[in-house]
Amino acid sequence: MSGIVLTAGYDRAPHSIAVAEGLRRLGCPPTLILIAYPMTVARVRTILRSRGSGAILRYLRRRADGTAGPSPLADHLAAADISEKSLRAWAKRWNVRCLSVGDINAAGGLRLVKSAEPLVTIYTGGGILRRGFLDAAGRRVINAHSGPLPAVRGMNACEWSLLLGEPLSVTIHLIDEGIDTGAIIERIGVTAQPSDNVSVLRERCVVAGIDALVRHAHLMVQGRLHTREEEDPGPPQRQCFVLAPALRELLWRRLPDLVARQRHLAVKPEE
Amino acid sequence: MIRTGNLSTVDDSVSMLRYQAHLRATVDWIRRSIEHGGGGSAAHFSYLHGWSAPYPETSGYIIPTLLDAAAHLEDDTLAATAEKLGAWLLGLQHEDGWWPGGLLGRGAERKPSIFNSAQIIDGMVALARRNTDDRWRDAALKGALWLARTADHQGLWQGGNYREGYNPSYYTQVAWPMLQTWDLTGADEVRDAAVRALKRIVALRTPQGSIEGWGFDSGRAAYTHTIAYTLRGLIESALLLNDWEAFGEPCVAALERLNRKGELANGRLPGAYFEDWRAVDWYSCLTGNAQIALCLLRLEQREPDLRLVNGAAKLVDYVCKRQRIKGGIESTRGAVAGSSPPWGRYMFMRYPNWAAKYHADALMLLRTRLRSEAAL
Repeated sequence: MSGIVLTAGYDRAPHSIAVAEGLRRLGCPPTLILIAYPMTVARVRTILRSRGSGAILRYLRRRADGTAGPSPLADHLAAADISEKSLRAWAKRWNVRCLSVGDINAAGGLRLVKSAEPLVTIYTGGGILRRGFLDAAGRRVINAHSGPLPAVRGMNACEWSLLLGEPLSVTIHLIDEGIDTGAIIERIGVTAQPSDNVSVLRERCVVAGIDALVRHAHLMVQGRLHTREEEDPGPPQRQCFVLAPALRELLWRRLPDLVARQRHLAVKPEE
Repeated sequence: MIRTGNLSTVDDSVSMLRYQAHLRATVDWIRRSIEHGGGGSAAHFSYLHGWSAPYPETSGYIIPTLLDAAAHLEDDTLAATAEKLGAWLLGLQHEDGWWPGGLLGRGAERKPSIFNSAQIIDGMVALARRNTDDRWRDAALKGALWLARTADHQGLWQGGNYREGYNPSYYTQVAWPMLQTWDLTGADEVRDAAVRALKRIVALRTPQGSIEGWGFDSGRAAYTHTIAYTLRGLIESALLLNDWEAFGEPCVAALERLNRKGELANGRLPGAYFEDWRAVDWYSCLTGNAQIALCLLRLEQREPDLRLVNGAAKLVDYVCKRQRIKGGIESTRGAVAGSSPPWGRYMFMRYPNWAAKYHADALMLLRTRLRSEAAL
């Protein structure tokens, strides 16, 4: 076992680039990047449902107007001086093997992962990982989930945290065959600002996840993995799914109150 | 500044306005079914055969829908229509207490029906709760006593079944109106018979959470329509008896499974399931979709969790997307087809009045829940 495998959902995924670059700066760049290929009709449909077509149209309109609005992720990339826009370009620059696969669970991808003998695989996208992938990766696959586990597992976790009155947070955990049911490594609180909209809150979670993934992958490479298995998370809670339009509208309507309520819920960042 | 979009009141939100429009259209269609029903509500409309004969059973359980819709739509004429349906049904009640099964076509033989009588009792109880006129209460009690006295010590009925000799598990939906009558009148004899039937049915729960015999025919796949009957009957009975553990808890696993399936398919449930949960997926039973949404919302009232509301909203949205509320011919405007596609196995190419009833019920309960959440 030698290195780190990084999975990504698409070539221009900024959070994936940030994780790769963060690891490189710590002296442990990924040895293999797998980009699971992306734009099938089903995937586009899932993205539209997940974000809401209205949110995507507003985003595109703001981009066209040059008024993209606040973006914690863009701020993070700027502060870290990360300007690369493509994982492939980043990999080429730093001489890291980078491959695109149609399905992350397909045999070809599994062979690549297995032959890489990763100490740790960092999941930053690419679809649901099946048993074969997890086995090939030695079951050391970590993920940053944008919600508190086990309370908020599944899709739209940031939005559901707000609606369910759970603290906005990121949970670093090992991936197993269940949906966000693997051993918990760390929970990191995310602070909401009164002016935040849902996109901004979602990006705050992403930024917290980038830092934590880099930190934990680095620790794992050093042979220091600490899960919180001593803490009984209790039975998995009901899974969250993509918000229905009516619930998305409800979230918008109640957002100021829900964000205000977060002040009383906030998880303190752990030592 | 906090961005909340440009919504002023909850009822102005896009989804709430959409639900309101669908509710109005659905209720208008139900009213048309009554105009064509010769006193009751025509069971269904089809392009081939037009409006059918009236259906006493569904005319009965349409009554509470109309009463609720009168309040939701602020339309008192709907309450008056409900009373007219009730009066028509009173005229059909046999002196022993039962109501006839099947459609009330000209010359049709009138035979007692366990299930259909119970659904009419549901309507009678709704009318009795609304006003002090004793005739509704008396009719409900007479019907419920007939049901209680014809059930044996195991909670089985020997006659009056849809399939001779077969007591399906969706008879939980017989127990529920019986318990409503007990709740209204205090008739313990009715309660005891209902509990016997419920206990018998709960014992048929499989380790996978399905319930044996919850379809029209033993050994065949059950439509989500009758699955939902079974589950709803259990939920409502558990609430009326204040005994969730005995009668509510046994249906939770099935509901969770259906909720998950609906979520993953963006609101589309398979049309039918075998008892081992193999799905018949080439069509969806729209009635069942709406009924399962109701079950989820009722479960959520007991155990608040917006994730269940989300699942219910998707099931309702799926039905809305398959309902024409503008244009087309009047007889299908606001109607809900039995299946999607309409040539699906459940109510092939027909628009049943009970699909409209359950869709309207689901829309009203969903709107109420969303309103209450927005008001927090």
